[in-house]
Amino acid sequence: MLSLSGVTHIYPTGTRALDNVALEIPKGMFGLLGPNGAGKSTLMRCIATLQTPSQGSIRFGDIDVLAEPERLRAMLGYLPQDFGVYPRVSAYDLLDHLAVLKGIANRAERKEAVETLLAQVNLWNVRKLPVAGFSGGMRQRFGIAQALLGNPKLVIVDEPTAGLDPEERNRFNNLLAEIGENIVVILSTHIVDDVTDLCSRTAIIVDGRIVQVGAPTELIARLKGRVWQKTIPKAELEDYRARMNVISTRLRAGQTVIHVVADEAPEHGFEPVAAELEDLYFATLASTRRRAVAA
Amino acid sequence: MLWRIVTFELRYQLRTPLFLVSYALFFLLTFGSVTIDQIQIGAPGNVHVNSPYALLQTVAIMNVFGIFVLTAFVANAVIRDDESGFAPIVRSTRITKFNYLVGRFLGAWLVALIVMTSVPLAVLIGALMPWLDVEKVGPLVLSHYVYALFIYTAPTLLVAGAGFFALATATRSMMWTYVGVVAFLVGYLTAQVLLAEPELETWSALSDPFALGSLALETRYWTAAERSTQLPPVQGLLLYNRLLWIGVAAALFVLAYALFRFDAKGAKVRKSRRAKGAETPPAAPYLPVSPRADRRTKWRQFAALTRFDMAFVFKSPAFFVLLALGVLNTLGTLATAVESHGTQYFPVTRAMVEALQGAFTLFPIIIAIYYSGELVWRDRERRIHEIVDATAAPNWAFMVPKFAAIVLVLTASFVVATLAAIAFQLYHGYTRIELAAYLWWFIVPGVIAAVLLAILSVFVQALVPHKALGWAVMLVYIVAGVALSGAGFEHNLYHYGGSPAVPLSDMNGMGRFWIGRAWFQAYWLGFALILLVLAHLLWRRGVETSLRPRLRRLPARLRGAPGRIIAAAAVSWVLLGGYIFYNTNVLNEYLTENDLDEYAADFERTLLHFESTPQPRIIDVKLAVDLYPKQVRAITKGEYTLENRTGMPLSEVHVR
Ligand SMILES: Nc1ncnc2c1ncn2[C@@H]1O[C@H](COP(=O)(O)OP(=O)(O)OP(=O)(O)O)[C@@H](O)[C@H]1O
Ligand SMILES: [Mg+2]
Repeated sequence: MLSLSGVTHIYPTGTRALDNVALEIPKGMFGLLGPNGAGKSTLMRCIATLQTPSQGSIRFGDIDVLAEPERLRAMLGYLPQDFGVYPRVSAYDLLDHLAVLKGIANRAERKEAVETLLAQVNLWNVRKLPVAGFSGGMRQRFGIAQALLGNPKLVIVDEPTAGLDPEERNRFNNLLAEIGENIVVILSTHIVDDVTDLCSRTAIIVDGRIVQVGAPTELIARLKGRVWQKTIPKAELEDYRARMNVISTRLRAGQTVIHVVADEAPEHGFEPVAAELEDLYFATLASTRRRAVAA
Repeated sequence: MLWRIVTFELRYQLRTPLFLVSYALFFLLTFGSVTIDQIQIGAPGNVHVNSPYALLQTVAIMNVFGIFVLTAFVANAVIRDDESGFAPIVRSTRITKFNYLVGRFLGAWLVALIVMTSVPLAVLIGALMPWLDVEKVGPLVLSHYVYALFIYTAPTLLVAGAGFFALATATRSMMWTYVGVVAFLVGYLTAQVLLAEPELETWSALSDPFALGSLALETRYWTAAERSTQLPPVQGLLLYNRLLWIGVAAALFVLAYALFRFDAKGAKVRKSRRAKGAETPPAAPYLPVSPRADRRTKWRQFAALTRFDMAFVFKSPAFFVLLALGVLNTLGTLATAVESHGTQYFPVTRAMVEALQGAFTLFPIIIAIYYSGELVWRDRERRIHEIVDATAAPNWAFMVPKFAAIVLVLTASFVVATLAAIAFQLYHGYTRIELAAYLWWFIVPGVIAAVLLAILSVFVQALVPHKALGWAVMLVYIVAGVALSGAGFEHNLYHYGGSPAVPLSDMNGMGRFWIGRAWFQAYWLGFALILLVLAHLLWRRGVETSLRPRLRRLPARLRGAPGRIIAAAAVSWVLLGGYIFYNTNVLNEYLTENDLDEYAADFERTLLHFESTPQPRIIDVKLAVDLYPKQVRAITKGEYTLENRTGMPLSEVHVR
């Protein structure tokens, strides 16, 4: 069980990337949603001992993460949002090297772990090629493989499916779901459906603050029967926005479809839709922004 | 268009670390030779340190070294597009072959020229340093520096640059180009030796692309005063030399132009690596393997990281360039050890070691500073630090290999220099090879100094928030050390790594002098151990650059082994320091260079008026001296016969 309290991080530039974050993260998959620059990566780096927050405390079980980062690292799997590799080192050799660093010193065990993992992420055929020459998605899969090495009790993956093709994304989600049953997995993503499908709990972070947290089904239930949809001409969009709580607009076959949150049908032509996590996400963003403007 | 390519090349190469490092290297080497008596480039003799003669000699010799850097720039300009796979894109643009080649070459040549401006600049700045003896410094004449740059450096770089540009074009390989550089320098040195006959001096002067021979020839009948004030006129052999080599440069460039194929066919296609997917993938699902954190695992992590860091250093071209530079530097100094003012000496091991020590004053410092920055910051520069630093490997497993790699690089350079010295002895027909002497006189003290230096530079890089800042801190440390000594603060107890010099003797080796040095070495190793443990405790993990969070964790992390090691090291450091102080300052009188000068001046003032006092002459000496070198004892028995030859009675006899 991972618990954060009062975690605040201010970068030397003055950006308040995390603002008094308090979270309880139980076993299972935990999804972090939030717009670009919300502070997801900063939060994950703080938990992964790669950055010390300006204030606050982070505990994992009986480990005080900020005081004893070594103990957490021994049970951590981490995939950064963006990473590079050494030139001229093959995927096999690099994964082997990282396996040693993670504490798998036994040669036979390591060989087994490295080979099965390479097969799992579908890099077996290219294992002898330098990682530096991999495509973006292949490199990402290499990153996933190294994050799963060892027997991590805490897995933190920052936008793991970015750049993966649909097939590989499915493969990864299945792999993660399998692993995520008994350990804590924190996952940040921009694909809201992945959170609905995979995560037992989720949090939405905006401007460094946690604005929603709970099980996806629970969160969706809050919007039950309150999401309405209408297809409108594009020119009238501003008018609708001014009159009602429009949380999202999207194009479907060239037509503008808006979603509105209201206790009952706002006007003629709106029909109810089953709320999804995406509606909650947009509704949360919309209300946070409205509050920010009002403040 | 051409100008745009030139400026692009210039901007591109000026941003490479090679530029900064080589600029600093040449600046420091020259600065050191101007401001520190122990460091010598060439043998300008009795002239001002910034006299035109000394300046030209320094510039010409540094140009020889500059070839290595120049080659890196010009070869990079022609090879890099093929290596990066960018060639087809660049060459499918509307750029012409002429613009491409001429632009790239001129850009790279200009960068090398900028690097070499550090040499006259260092002479200029070095001559202004306050600790220099005013009698050794002449007036600052800007035109001398301009002359050095445009008559000496620019044409030399042009011809060597064109030559290696052509070689790189033909071979498409950095390594073969460097092999060519080494072959060229060996050929050059051999030719200079073979042409060193008086009747061949014209040939010698003309065939020297560095124009060192012409300088010697033009100025050989000059007085010291002339050498301190006059530049050799650009006429006669010097002029022909420069014209000849500019012509050769043009010819070599035309050759490169002819060799270069603009269509990408010239580029070799990399052979595909081992057969792909020869074996079938394991069908078993992935079963997590539990990691361990026992001692054995930590050692394996340490070994794996060591292998990585060693490979990084020993496979990098920079290492070979530095090694080659070291050997060249060594051979140059060795040559001066067997000949002085026309007298030939035996290349005895003592002389060889003294020459090696002279050649290796600045060199290890530069290597340690350079590699500490490269190694400590490598993971971050490769952007793999977030992955590597989140693993369970302990800090020391990251830090110690970097320090060990630097020590090994330095040891390798000492060993190679020793081999060069032995080869030199054999070449001179001197077959008494004393390996043990090389080991104890040169390699062991060198490695100890290297350990101290490597620890300090890794420690500094572990703390600072940026690589360049770490380099700057180390430079300040070195300059501050020199300046403090100059200002009369000389005690080795506060000069990190400082120890008394050990004079060598052909008969008696290091005598007992090594004992004093050993105490100091132990003292500084104790201090370095503290630094090493602190570097482990304060090691930077992840994206953090600020030191504050790491300092906050420090007290808690001192608990256990690190704290015990630091305590033990601190106690022995203080005890050793106390014992040394007792010996240097209580049992003996501690005198600085200034004190000694003052004593000498006092001596002269007090006793000078006795100079002309009539004294008897010693006309016969019979001595039987028994030397006991192991016990530092000598028993002298014998007699002096004095005779009064002044023809007058003497009232006093002075004995000193
Ligand atoms: N090294 C840094 N120095 C200064 N500011 C930073 C640094 N890294 C991030 N920030 C700032 O902190 C805020 C949060 O950044 P972070 O990378 O955590 O966002 P994110 O939620 O991961 O965004 P994305 O979805 O784009 O990955 C941003 O405003 C960003 O500009
Ligand atoms: Mg991010």
